Amino acid sequence: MEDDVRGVLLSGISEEQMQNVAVFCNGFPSIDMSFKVEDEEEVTEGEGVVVNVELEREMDEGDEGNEDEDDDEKEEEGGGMGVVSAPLFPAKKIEGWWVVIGNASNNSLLSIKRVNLVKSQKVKLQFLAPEEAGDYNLKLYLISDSYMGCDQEFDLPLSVAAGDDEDDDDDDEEDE
Amino acid sequence: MSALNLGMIAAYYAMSYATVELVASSVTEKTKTRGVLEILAASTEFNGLAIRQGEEKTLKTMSKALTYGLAEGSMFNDPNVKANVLLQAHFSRKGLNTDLRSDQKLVLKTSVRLIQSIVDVISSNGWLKPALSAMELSQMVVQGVWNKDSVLKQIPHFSDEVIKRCGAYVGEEGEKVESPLDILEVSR
Repeated sequence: MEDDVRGVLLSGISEEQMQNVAVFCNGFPSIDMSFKVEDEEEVTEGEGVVVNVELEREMDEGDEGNEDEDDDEKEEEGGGMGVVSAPLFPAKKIEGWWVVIGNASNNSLLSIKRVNLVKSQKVKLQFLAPEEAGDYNLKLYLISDSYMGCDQEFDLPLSVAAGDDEDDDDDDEEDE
Repeated sequence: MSALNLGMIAAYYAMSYATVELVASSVTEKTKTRGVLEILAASTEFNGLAIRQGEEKTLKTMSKALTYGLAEGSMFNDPNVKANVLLQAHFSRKGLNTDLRSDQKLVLKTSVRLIQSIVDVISSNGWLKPALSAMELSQMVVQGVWNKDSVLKQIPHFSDEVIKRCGAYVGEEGEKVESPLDILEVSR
């Protein structure tokens, strides 16, 4: 984009302040997320489902302007990856993420894992398929604990087949 | 949820059992961000916050401008009410005096860990939306923003005016400036 566009949009921000802006924006996570349901064709009611999720941070190799920062980020060098840029938070914060599988239509959370994503990570989520055969529109979420606006949400369609030897295992509820 | 589960969560996050139990008994499947904030502020971890002389008055004044009003009958000598006010002041980026600022720092540092445990308790109950609300609260605590604020507000030195200009911008090919990643494109 053109220099004059930048000048207009960001006017009022000094060159010096722009360095902080650049540090924040460069550190803002951009995560590539892919997933696969194990044995997708054979998901059966009430039985275990495994979803393998792969997370990969998109990194800009040729980042310039990062060289002569003289703030805290500097001493971290490469190891600074994963440290949150949060000028208003009073402590060093390491990025954390929640990977969640849920069913928004009935407000149920089926599986959750917390990860500290550095560059790339594989996450295995497990849960029990719904007790009734049918087609479900589940969602897979990636939620940051530190940044607003980088959460992701994917459709996770799940076809659940009827089991052969149907026998409801009674789950004792111990409410109250 | 079983006492054993709650105990494990408390131990894992090095927090009081009373807090975890409080969370477990307060969260419902309908709890929203406001509710999670109230539960967070009510944590026993904040019971020790001092109320200095004259602070009740300051907190009372601050409470009049809160986004999420306090519960009926809230007392300003109550450290948990103070925690609530300080958290909201952080999201709204209100200036504070030195004493309150240092209390606020303490509240913020503790909150991130507490919210993780709240997420754990909620997910043990299998509730999706309250869990997502608690996660959102974590983002608000770390960046000092409200969930309805522009994402761009997290960027240092981005005044409301700059944010407004960015929001109104549409490039020649329809490109917008909505995320910090778009700013990189603009400032390249």
